[in-house]
Amino acid sequence: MNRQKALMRLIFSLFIMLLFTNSLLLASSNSSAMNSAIEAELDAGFEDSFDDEIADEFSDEFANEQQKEFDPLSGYNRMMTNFNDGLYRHVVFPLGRGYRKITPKQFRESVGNFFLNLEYPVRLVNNLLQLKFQNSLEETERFVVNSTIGLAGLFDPASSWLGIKEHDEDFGQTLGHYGVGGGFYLVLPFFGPSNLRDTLSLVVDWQVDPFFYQEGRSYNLLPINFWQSIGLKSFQYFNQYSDNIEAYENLTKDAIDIYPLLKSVYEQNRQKEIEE
Amino acid sequence: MIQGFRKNIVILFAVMFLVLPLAANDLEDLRTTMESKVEEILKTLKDPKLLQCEQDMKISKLADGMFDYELMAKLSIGKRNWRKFSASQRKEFIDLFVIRMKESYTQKAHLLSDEKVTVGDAVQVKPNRVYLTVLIHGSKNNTDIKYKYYKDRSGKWLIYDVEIAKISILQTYRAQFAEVLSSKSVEELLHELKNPKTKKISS
Repeated sequence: MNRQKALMRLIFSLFIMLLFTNSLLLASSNSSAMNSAIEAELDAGFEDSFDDEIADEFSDEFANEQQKEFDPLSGYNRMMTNFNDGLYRHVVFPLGRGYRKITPKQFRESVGNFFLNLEYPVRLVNNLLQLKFQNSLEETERFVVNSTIGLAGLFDPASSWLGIKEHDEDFGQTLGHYGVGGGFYLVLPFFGPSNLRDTLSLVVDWQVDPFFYQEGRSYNLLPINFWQSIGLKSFQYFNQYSDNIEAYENLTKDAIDIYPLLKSVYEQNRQKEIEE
Repeated sequence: MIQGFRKNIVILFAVMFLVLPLAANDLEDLRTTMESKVEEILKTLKDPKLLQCEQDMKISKLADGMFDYELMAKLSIGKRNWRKFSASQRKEFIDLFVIRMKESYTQKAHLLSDEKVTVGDAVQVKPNRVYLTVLIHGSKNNTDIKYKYYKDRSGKWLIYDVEIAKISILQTYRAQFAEVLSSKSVEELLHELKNPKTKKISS
């Protein structure tokens, strides 16, 4: 128990640090800032004068845009991106294709639905933390409907029959909602792109995630220790990846460099998720 | 006094009738153009008489005149890095980028073949910017493609960026080019574009 307390304290202090360094780190890693850089360049009408030497007065305006991004772990991140890419292409995708051959699509969807349904507490807590009460209510309706009529969450009648859509929120999005920047980019083994904020937030979400084993908690579901939890999560991801093989391949097919590509896609995605 | 007031009203109405419908027509035009293009693409894809390369050519032709490829090329490099390019390098880069864009556009068009596609309303976000969303209805979830238009000097609406499932194509290229140019020369970037190391797609 003491170890857990110490861990929580560590995470808390890291968050505080994150809050303070926020503005510094956010300066160039924000995709909406990048978008507005494009917009600003368009507005300046530079499409016509682009070939000319650009007047000095514009240099301040665009100085930020191409500053080197704050990426202190770029060496490790790049290595891990390549490692994951190889892992997906040579291990996960061939296995995923095999898995797809022996399981019907409905089975894979139901596996996904089952995990999604039981992660309801994570979404509820984070919707509430962001004061999104309507969404919290809808999430609760979904949980009730899908757990009963949806046969313990194997099916999703809430969205297919009643049209109540999922409101995915995690603690990383909650922090983002209140203005905490992502911090530096961080690539996780197997799970892929993340950043400092979202990785630390995982530990917070685990506190209410039934798939994560917590000592002394009364509602630990299947896992009886940390590694079983990781195993379960990996299976959940594998199940999900197996139906997204082509999407990943199409995305990376013409890449000039997959490292900045996947980084940009992750950052844009998170930015949109936080804004929603 | 009253005459002045009346004059103002007349001017106001004149402006309203002249300007607003024009703007509205512009938006409706973009929408109907997109609708007919989508229809043409779907027809081309379903045409059994055409070989794939013929389909690609037709689709690529359909896209001509809708995109401002040159502007997209420039924006993907950004103002600062653009200065590092010589005049001939600029021309070469634009050509390579256009080829890449057209290829990726025709490849993506093939994904539409068995899907239901609807064109949403054009939304004017700024006087010189319009977003038009095209929805692809999949079996489980929908994918939206957002075309971003700007008005060029001659008053023509052209696409300068495309967002697929909310990921901006231009942003992903911008990130990649910036990364490559942070450690490599323009010559090396052009070389990489000329010799794309396409990853294998297994089937």
